[in-house]
Amino acid sequence: MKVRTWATFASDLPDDHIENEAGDEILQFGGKSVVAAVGEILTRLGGAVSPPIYAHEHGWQLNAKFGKRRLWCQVTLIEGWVMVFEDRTFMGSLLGYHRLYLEVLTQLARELGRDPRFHDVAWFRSDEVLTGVVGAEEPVSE
Amino acid sequence: MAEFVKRRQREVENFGQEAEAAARDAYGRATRTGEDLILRTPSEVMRYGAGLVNGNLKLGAGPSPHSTPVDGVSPARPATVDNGHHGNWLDRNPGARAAVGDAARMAGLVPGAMRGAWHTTKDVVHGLDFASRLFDPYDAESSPRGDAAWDKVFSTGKGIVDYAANAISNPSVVADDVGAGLHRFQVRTDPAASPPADTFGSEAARNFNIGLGRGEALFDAGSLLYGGAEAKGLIELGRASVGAGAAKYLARGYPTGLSDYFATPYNGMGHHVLARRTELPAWLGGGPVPPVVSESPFFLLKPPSISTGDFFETHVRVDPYYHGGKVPAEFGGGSWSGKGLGWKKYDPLARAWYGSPAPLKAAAGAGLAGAGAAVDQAWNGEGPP
Repeated sequence: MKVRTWATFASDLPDDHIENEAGDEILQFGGKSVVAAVGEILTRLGGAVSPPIYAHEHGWQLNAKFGKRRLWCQVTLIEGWVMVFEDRTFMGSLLGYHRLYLEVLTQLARELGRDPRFHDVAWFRSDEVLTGVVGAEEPVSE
Repeated sequence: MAEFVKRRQREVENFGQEAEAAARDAYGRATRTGEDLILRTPSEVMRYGAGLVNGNLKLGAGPSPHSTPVDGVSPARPATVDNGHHGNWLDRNPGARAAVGDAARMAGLVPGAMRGAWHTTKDVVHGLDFASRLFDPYDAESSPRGDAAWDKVFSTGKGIVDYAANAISNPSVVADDVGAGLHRFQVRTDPAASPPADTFGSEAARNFNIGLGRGEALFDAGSLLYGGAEAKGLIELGRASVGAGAAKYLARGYPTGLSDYFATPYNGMGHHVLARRTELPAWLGGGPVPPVVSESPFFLLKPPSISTGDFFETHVRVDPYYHGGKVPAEFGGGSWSGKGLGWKKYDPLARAWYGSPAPLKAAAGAGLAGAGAAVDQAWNGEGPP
């Protein structure tokens, strides 16, 4: 089974990237609206989702709790948007991906694909992202 | 015939006793006069004594030159005259000596690595002390003439330039220096590069020292791969490039705007060793790692006075979740990615080393280096005190 935890996409949402007046310093890295939209999706899927968390050059992050699973999402603005969605449950991935995480990941991909605010969603393994490899349509496949 | 054999045996025994006595006298005289005389084995004693009795040898004409200890590896202990009654079966058994040599070399590896860590730590401590003197406004006043930190910088720099110039005109200088270094390294780490000892204990000690040397060499090789070179002084080479500003990024072929951006001072949040996404287990209270821990100097990598480009490169290499970002409009806008610039992620070991702030590395290394200091004091290449 292949599990792709990284995604790239385009979005019509504001990028929230803020620079100073001189344009020579980044005051806020982008991604607040995008990660908030991802948070809305995860909430609809039944998770207890945190507000967006600012992570400087990493962009924006959020935590989501599904049952006992603690999931984590990060969105970074580079050329387009780069997102990672992982199971951060303590010692939770030692025996492989948890069924509930895989289910949420699959549902999230489906919702992103349906949501008109997101375009060109493609999924990658960590060693594939931004390498020029063509992404997959689904994060989980045999 | 039987009488002839008995008489011949008596003659041989007498000759042997005379030869042994002659060699013993010669050895005693050599000890008193400081003359070099090495007799490693009973057969060497007998051969040397026989030469004296027969008149083929003169006193003072020792059979082998004295071996000088090199870098902590003692040569075989000079053999005393062996009358066949001293030493136990272990001393006389070459197989046992070989076995203890192998075991002793293995035993020396780990303490040798610890000693390497200790020596590196001492270098770093000296380096930090030296660095602090560089920024001490009173160092020049309080130091003897020519001994201030900045004087050392310039004299060392001149020395490097002189060495380089000499090497260009006379390349054999470099070859000789490298050759001498390799020889010392070989003697420290190669059992065949120093003579074997003639007793069980001496052979164990010789090989333990070789094990120490090998362990230290292993630590040095590892630390050269994973940052020891920086700790041992090559950091100056890197620091020299900081002053180069955008030029060093332009030299890599980066666009002008991006190079200018990378040359600006970094003022971001740094790299967190305990990632902010890390959640504590329930039995530790759950929730994120408290900022008092995650933002402490032990767990936050944010070197002072580092350029944006240097920090971003380090960050990309050590953090699997960081890949790039936007470029401010004043510098041309657009974006950059580590992969696009050819910055490869470190392997886990290098990630742990380069991604850890100096205080964490110092704390983690303190135990290892402390044990190494004990080895350094207790053994120090000369055997136990």
